[in-house]
Amino acid sequence: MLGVALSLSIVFLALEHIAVWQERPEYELLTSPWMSKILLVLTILLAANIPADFIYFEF
Amino acid sequence: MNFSEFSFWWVLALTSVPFFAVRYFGKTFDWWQGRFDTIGLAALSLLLFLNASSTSFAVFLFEILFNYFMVSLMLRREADGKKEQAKLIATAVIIFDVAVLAYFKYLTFFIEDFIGLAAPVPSNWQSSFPLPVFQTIPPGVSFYTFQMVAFVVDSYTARRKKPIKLLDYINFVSFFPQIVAGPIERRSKLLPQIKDFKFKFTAENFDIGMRWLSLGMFMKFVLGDNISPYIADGMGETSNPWLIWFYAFLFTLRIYFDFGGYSFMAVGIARIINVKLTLNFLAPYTSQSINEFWRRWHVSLSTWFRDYVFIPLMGKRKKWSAFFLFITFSLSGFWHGAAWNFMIWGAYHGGLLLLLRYAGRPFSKLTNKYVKKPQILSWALTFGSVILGCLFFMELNIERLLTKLQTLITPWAIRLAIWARRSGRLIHLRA
Repeated sequence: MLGVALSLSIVFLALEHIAVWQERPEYELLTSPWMSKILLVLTILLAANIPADFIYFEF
Repeated sequence: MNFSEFSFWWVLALTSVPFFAVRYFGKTFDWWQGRFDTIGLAALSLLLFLNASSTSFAVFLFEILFNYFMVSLMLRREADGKKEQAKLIATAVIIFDVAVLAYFKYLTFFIEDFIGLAAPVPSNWQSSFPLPVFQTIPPGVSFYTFQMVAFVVDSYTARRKKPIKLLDYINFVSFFPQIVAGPIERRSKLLPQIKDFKFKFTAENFDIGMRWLSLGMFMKFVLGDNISPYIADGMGETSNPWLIWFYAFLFTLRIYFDFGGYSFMAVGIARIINVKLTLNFLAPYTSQSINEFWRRWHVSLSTWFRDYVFIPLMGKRKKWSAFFLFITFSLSGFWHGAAWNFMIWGAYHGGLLLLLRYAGRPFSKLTNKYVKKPQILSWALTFGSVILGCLFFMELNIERLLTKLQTLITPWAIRLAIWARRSGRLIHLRA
């Protein structure tokens, strides 16, 4: 699963880079209508079975 | 609120469905008043907080009421022309808020790790301490305290000092999508949206809100949560520099996906009910300098420290700005947790900013001369520095942190160890 999560992370960060490079709002590509649907499907399919605690709740 | 807990969504549904059903009938039969929406939002936020932590609810409620009445008193004194008294009240409220935060968050650290440095502290000091000592901090105390402090300062410095209604203040401080982990909102941005609040559902708001929610859930539940267990497994690694870098890299990814995911979920939920929250993250890992990184990372906290710590501390002493910048970042590190590693992390970032300030230009002149794509080098150096910083952030065990740093500084040691082990085996075989 780490391989999948890392591959998706790299694609995710690459999309941020592309948006910044094209001088668009940072999350424009990641919040586009088609991308939102893809992310929702991926969340349903690949969400971790055991959710980790939110890090910033400890702060 | 913990968006990954079923109980959050359950309580949200359990309270929202009857509320909006009554509201629908009220609107249909024309007896629903606008202020019922404001009361509804306050009740919803407080109920969700109560569900998240019933033990700290009383403290939270007391803080809300204390801050509200003191700020109201301060505004009345200012209106009467008693500016000195108003200033005194503002100072007292800020000290009280920070003291509550310090009590819940830093008491144990202060006594065991700080006083403990100078004199031995008995292990059972908690039993003889006059106040109860808490092992966990109330949810959101670090965030809502900062929002309350900012509100006091902004109310004191505001040009138009209009009194604020209690319900509006409750909604401003306890707005459920952002109370537990921010974004830390300002009076000028959130209050006009929350004042005399009325639920307004539109297709556009729902669409935009769902997109942010979808992004946040993906970041948190798919990326952050799937990476998280591997970090826990690798925390004990101290001998292999590559693995130390790798686990720090995993943590760097996780902390962004976890906290960014939470923040975007908060933005999405708020947007569905027509409230626009601050974007706490602006693609921080695309930054090409540490300066830029701090403009993109945890934006609401960075600007809070800039406006309420750095600028007031520095005042007119601009020559000392570098020193105050370092102090501000060390304090910012300490805000993250009552442990030495967080202070080191803050000081490390303060140090990086100073390095950039004094060595940035000559360095960029050099790279522009010899490197074809200097922006790629700048990005790599920035990202590498952030990963190294995350090592300080993730490692609460100071001894282990020092061992890891030693391994990173002497990466050849592992090669020597492997070589020695292999040579030893060879000699053993020959014998």
